[in-house]
Amino acid sequence: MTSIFFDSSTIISMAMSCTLEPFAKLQKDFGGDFAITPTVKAETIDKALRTLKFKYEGYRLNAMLKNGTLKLYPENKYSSEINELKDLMNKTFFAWGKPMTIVHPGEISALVVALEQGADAYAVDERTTRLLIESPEEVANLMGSKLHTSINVDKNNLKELKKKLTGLPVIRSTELALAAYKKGYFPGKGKDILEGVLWALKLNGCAITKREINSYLRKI
Amino acid sequence: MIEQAKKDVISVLTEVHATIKQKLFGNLHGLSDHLIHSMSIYQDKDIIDVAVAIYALHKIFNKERHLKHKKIKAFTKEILSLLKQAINALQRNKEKEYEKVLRQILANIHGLDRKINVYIEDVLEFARVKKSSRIYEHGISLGQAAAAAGVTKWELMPVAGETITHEEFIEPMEKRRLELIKKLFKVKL
Repeated sequence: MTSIFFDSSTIISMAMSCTLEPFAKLQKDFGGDFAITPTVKAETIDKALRTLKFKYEGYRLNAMLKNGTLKLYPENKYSSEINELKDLMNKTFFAWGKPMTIVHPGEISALVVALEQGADAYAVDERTTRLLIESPEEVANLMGSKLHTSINVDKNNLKELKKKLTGLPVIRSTELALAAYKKGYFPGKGKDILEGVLWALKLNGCAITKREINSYLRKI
Repeated sequence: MIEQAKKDVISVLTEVHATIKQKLFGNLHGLSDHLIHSMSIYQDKDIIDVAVAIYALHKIFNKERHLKHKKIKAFTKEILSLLKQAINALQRNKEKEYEKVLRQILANIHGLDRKINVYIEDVLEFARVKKSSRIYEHGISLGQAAAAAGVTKWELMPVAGETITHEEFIEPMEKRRLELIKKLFKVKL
């Protein structure tokens, strides 16, 4: 079965920018599973349902789980792999002689299940986890420049990290939006509506640069 | 608390005390960011809580309406006294005592906030989201930044989305991603 696994960041930015309906249509076109893990469900649906501010988004996402747009994949049989990857990520970069805890266990579950299931793609809007997959050296550069200190990298762990993560294709909500736009799933045509959608996703937390948005707009 | 971080916290608390005493409230915002490196590297609750408290104090003291409130004088006096106690406790390495005083500072802010309604939301919650966003800016993941400051990703994402951090550091992987969506959704680009 083909599948795209979703990190909670992508689910949240789509829910907050009201792009869940086109997203549901894309799932039908894809034909495979739009998959989440119980941890992602807990961080998105369950947490939202416990608040006043995000309860409505929680209900909308829960409906998507019930109607099959989102599919829950178990993660418990991968708990040792999840811990192993979390430890590896959190023991690769060092500042002031201390290993930097850069990721939370909740962010690793969908990633590990995606790797284990041979997913077609991993959707993540959050910057650090995505950089760890696509270009882990960049994480050290980012932290070093922001913290104004040298970041030491455990080269063996970095090598191991690359070995584990290389090859997993990554997308964000913005690329899903681009596909949805090309399919005519937004109420309007032309650059203007796409620009509105891409900026809405960015301002709701999707890590995309202004340059990338402009480049996408030139491509349509 | 690690020695270097402790020195940072003492130095910032001392400056905050002087700033409030001299009514230079405009400086509080900057002071709340002085602990950002210690916050990001150690992710210690006691360091993050100090930054949260200072940011909340900045929000309280920098509004004319709040400064005219009948409770503000007693609140200011209490905060100055607690700041002194926190500094003394840290200087004497009495960390438990320091933690207790820090909790009292947060409780006082919460108590005043309930009376003056700085925001619809709790001012401390607002400050937590802001500080969490600063940790995220420094390279820590969204989930870890949210967990360290005690907020949810739902609260953090829109605030993180408004920063320009991403602009400077993300290497475009555009071609690869576009090829992927062409393949997955059979769209022409």
